[in-house]
Amino acid sequence: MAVRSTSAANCLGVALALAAFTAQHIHGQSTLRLGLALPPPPEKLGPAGQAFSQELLGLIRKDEWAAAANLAEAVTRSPVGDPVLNYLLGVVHWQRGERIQAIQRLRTAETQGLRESYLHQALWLAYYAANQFILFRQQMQLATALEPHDPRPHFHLGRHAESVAGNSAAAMRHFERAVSLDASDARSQAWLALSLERMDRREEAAERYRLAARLATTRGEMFSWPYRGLARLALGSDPYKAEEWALLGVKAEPEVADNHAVLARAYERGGKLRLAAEAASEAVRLNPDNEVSHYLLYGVLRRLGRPDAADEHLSRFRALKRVYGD
Amino acid sequence: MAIRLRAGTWVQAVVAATLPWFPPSSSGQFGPVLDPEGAPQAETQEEFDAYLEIVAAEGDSERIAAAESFAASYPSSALLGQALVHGMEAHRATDNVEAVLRTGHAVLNLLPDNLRSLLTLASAIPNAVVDPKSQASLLERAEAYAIRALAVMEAKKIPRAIPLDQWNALRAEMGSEAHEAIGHVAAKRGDVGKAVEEFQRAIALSPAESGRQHYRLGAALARMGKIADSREALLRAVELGPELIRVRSREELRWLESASPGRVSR
Repeated sequence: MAVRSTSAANCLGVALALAAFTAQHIHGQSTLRLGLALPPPPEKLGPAGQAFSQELLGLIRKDEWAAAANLAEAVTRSPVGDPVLNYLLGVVHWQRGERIQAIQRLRTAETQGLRESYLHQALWLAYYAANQFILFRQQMQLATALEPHDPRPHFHLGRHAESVAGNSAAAMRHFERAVSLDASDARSQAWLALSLERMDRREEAAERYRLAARLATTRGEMFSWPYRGLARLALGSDPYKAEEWALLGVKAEPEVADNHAVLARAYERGGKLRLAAEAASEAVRLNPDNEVSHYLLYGVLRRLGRPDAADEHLSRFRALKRVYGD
Repeated sequence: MAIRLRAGTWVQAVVAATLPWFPPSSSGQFGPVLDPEGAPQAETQEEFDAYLEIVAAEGDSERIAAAESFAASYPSSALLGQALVHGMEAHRATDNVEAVLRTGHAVLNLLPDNLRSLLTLASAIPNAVVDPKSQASLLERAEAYAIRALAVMEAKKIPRAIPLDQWNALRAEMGSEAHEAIGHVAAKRGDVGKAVEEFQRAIALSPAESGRQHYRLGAALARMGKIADSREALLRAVELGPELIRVRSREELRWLESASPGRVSR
């Protein structure tokens, strides 16, 4: 008869889902998406691989997730003693958004004796998604010991240092290590540029942003972060150059609110107030809970002589600031 | 021994607006792990495994057992407060008021601003009060928890992962729960005027209409002699349910009919 509250699993489940799929904000700027796909399972299973594992591996590698889920359900009706199969079941759960079950399966695989780098990579990604950073670092060390030339642990350590710990100097060291292992990764280069920018090493940051932009273009990736960074760096000295960079950012990823916000700031600095209002409005439309964009739009609308419309955004800015704080 | 509240007579219901424990919805909460900067950290994988056992438990008794096991194994864990919240919720779902009070207080010792515990205790305590005079201090505590919850909500900074509109809806829901609890305390004290005011505020705030709140309002209005208004609220409670609320509300309506036939039936 009792009115049941939201299931307890929701608290953590929601957190995991959000951590995996939501862009995180740093000082009003959205950062790169986390991209938490678990590492691919091994190409082939060892001799101990059982029939179920082979079949499940085949389905996963063919991206046949519905069939994989059906098979997983059948398999888990009885206890699973094979660690590789537990790993694969963890991958299936993860793919289906069942984060808690995924972690539990991965952990079972580990306690059953699986000591492969792909398992540790999966675990550190899962712990990162659950905001469990001590465990994340422990798994990272295990993965790095097994595969010292893998740049991804260093990239994610850098991400953690920059976006959670707020330590740009430490982040920079991790990103430098990551790019030393794979200089062609545009994301690592872009994050390194961000750390440099935060440390006010503007010229080096600009150079890295340009490199990241070139790498993304070469690979055909639609990646706006470097353009946005370059626009930000140019705002104070050359608003027209900033406008050019910001437009490239909007072109690459028009759905990213921060690209429009930076463009609005460039227009505003260049005295193009109507265009600034349009761009800021688009930023607000795409991310209505970003107080910085509301404040930007408030300022532009005031300068355009529209105090009533401006005050609406000032109110919204204050409401958001009150709730989200600094 | 667990305190289980029994269905009382209509007189008790009207006087105290007490229900067998009907926990208010508590969806207005979010896990601390949602906030990367504020997430409590497990020190070991085993500790986090044990926490996940609680979260993933399928039944209330399993969740309670997992939470108790966690508390025994990891008494200084940063996740302990949240583990106890899960245990409290499971006790609440099984109507074990005594255990809710015990775990709720334990949570507040660790997490003084935990909204879920403040609201749960504010709602649960009046139901555990049998004699409002000798247990006045308990009612005071319940009221203080509800008021504290309202203050915490007002000042709370939330993670950006929660959109503002969603937070506003959650806050309204939690505010509704807090005002309902204050109204319940007032009803227990016999201050029906304040009870009506608080129940009305709870109804106005709630994003989804609650049969329980209308029932409580109707019962308090009846006690004030506002028969027509009481009837209206009780009829709404009958519409909204759930079944126990319908049964109680119909009992109330029958009593109103017998007490003031001409006024109720029109």
